[in-house]
Amino acid sequence: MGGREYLGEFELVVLLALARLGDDAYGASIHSEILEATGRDVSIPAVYVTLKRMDRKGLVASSLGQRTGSSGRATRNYRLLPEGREAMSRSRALLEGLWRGLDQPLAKGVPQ
Amino acid sequence: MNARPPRLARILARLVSASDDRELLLADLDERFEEIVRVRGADTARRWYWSQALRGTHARLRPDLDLLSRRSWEGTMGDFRQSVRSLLRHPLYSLGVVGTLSVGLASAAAVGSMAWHVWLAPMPFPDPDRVVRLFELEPPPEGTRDASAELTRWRLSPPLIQDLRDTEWSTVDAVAGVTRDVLDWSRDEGTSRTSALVVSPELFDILGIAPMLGRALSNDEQAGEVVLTEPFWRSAFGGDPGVVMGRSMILGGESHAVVGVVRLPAGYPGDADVIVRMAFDAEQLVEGMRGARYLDVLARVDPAYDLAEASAEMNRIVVALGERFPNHRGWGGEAVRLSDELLRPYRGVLGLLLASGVVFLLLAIVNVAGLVAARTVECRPERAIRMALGASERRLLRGSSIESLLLGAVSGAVALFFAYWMLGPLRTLVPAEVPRVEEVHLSAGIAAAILMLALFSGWGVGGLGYFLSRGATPAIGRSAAAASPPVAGRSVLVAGQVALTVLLATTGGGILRHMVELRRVDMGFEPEGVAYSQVTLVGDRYSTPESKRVLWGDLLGRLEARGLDAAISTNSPMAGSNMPWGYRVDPTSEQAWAQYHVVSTGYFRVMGIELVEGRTFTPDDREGSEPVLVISEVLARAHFPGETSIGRVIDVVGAPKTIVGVVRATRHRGPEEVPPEEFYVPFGQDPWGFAQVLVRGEPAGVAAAFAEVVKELDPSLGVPPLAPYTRFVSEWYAALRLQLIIVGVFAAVGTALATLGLYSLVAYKVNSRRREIGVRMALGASEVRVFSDVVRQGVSLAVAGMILGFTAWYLSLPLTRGLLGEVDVSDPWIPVAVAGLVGFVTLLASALPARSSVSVDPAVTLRSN
Repeated sequence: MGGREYLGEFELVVLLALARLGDDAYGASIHSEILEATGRDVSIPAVYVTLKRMDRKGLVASSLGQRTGSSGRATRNYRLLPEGREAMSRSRALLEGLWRGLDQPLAKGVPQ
Repeated sequence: MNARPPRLARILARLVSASDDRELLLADLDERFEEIVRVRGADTARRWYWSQALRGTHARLRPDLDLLSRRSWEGTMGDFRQSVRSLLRHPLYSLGVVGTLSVGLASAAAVGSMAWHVWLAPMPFPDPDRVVRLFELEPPPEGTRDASAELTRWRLSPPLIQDLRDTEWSTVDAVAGVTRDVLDWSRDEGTSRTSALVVSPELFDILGIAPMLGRALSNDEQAGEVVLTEPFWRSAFGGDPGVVMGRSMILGGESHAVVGVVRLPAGYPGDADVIVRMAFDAEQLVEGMRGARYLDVLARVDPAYDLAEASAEMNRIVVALGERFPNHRGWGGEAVRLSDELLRPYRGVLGLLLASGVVFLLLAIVNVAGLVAARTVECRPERAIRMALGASERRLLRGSSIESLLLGAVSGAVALFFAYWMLGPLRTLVPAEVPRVEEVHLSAGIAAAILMLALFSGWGVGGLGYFLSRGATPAIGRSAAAASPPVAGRSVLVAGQVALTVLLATTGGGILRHMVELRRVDMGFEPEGVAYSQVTLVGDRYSTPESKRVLWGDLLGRLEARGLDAAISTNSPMAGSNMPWGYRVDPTSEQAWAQYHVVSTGYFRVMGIELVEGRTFTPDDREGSEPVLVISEVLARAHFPGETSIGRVIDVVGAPKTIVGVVRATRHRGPEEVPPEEFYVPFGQDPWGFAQVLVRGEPAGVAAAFAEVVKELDPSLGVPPLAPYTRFVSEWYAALRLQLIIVGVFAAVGTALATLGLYSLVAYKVNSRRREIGVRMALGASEVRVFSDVVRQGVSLAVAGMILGFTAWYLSLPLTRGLLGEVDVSDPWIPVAVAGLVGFVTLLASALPARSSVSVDPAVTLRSN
């Protein structure tokens, strides 16, 4: 459905975390991945809302899973779908295209 | 380790998460929370959790907010401005709504805070339901073997505690005694007094008191150890953490190693400076001491058993001891949950308070609904015009919602402001003995709940008004008929309010009368004009009876030399002491108990206790002379009816004493108590180590002289300054006064609300009947006729309410007695006075709008329609 849409910044962040985590991604692990990689303390409820939206758009798939280890509680695990990967690539291409040639001026400061 | 996410934040997170993944989301939050606790500590983790919940709320609401801001922000702001203008245009209406709603909400906030902190919040012990107090139950008096009679609970004596601690209990894990003492702390700077809790070491486990520093008291009976409480550690040792390593204190002349610092739980056992071990010497464990029931005993019930089983076991143990010791013969035992026991005397008041808070909030809402309904009728033409000009239904609804939310928000803010300032005075009204009363404050949770309630009730009431106005177009001449359903409902509500007011006012009147009557009760002594202080002789200087005798004699002599009328006593009435001593009238009779007083010669004169027969003590009643006794008339009547008791010899704790005088009985525990049997012994024959010093005169006038005498005598005694003796009596009235104030305040608020309700209802009716009244007056009806017609409607409502109220009062009489103790609230004058007052006020409330109805020029009224 959303094949032609570009990803929002937060959507991209969540998808990237998902890609790094592989198939064992769920709310808390995504939060901790983003925190470790970027130092950004995102909001877990926002992650949920975003994942749900992307689930509806067909970018990710979800299934109920079980946490291994002592707690063994239920989780909702997310997996990146090919459409998701495609959207990520598109976003990357878009951003890279826009960034090209901007490195020099940025080093001196962003022009107003 | 055991940090938990903040409860309120968790509730918020739960509220804003989508229902299908709610538990998963919360579990994710918890998982991260625990990790953050591990890595960065509990405080950071809690802040993190809050930020997650708040940002989650934002994420969840954002689509709605976006919509609002994009499509209708301007419209909303426009409606907002219009609402503010409209409310300012009707200041009486706005003030009425805000005033009424905020009174109701403020009382709910104050009452809710009180009830939560004192009553509903769990006691701060682990497993508070398993912490019990143990009591001995006194057998009912001979001849009154009424199974339903409530047995008197007693504290426990030292030998019984020893037995209980030695018993192999099956239902109870630990037993600990608790009492208080004042210990002298001697150091280089001089001697000061410390208030001490004297406890069995098990108390720390039972109440879950974990030391902040060091450790609790050990079980080693020989070790002299002391545990400091946190405030004392900070004030006396400057919070030095090294205090538990090798410091010691000389307390009561003995060295105690400081082993720990603790924070005492709120509610029990109360403030103290230091905690030392309870230990008994052989003298305190003799058979005779089994009657000295003065110690609190706590126990922790084993998780495998319940309270009833523990209570039954306690009873079995005491009954078994009764086989061996006459002091326990016929007695039983009981275990009572500590939290129940602490709140028992106040449960009635708290229940009353809580119920009134709820009722008043409901009343306020009902009255506001009345005001809103009245205004709705007024607004109908405006509404019709706006609709005709093309305003959509949705737009009107939004305008009305904004207006009611605005009113709710303002009321909520005003209510919180009131409640915040009300709680201070309210707390001082509550007797200081009520556990945890010092913790009562307007907590964030309650404030948030009140604000939500304010918005919700404002919105609900506004919505009600909106729907009332929706059905009817401004049909000319039909307004009275169209408005009839809300009028019928409101009539019932107004009558209900009058009924409630009547109920509260009659109950309050009953309590007031009861209090006045109690004030008239002859206490047997005259506290007016007596000042007292407490002197305790500690240290080696006063170890012998002779040294005590000398000091007491010296003290009284010096006070007399300064022209003061002074006396000393060990057990003064109403002062909180209780010393039942065993006696036998003849060696073969059963042992009985009477209040034991050791007094100086001037005691009866200073306290105004009348001599009935014989003589009081003289300086000749001293060590070595014949042991003498003065008894109270209650004891005399019980054992020597119709004959003189003077010259009879009775046996008091094993020592024969000759009765030389009979005095009036005094009440020790308040005017409701049946005066106990009492006897008095001269200080010269039994000098104690502590006494109340009683001085005739106002404290201000005699304080300086008294302080000088104490200083001359022994500056290390640390005697507190004189205080008026009447304090003990007024303290007794504190609980009753509290009930009276609560009921009185609520009766006043209720009267105000009911008056307002009645006024707005009658005004509303008059308003909607304006045309009809105009027609009648144009047709020649007299002003008096129209006026009395309108008033009659209001008065008939009030009368219906009063009948309902008095019926409810009559039916609730047994209940009121249960709540307030044996209060006789059935004085016929009280209902008459209440009926007069409520009748007058409601008459006024209907007369004012009725006057406005006849002041209208019929021509004008008719033309306007």
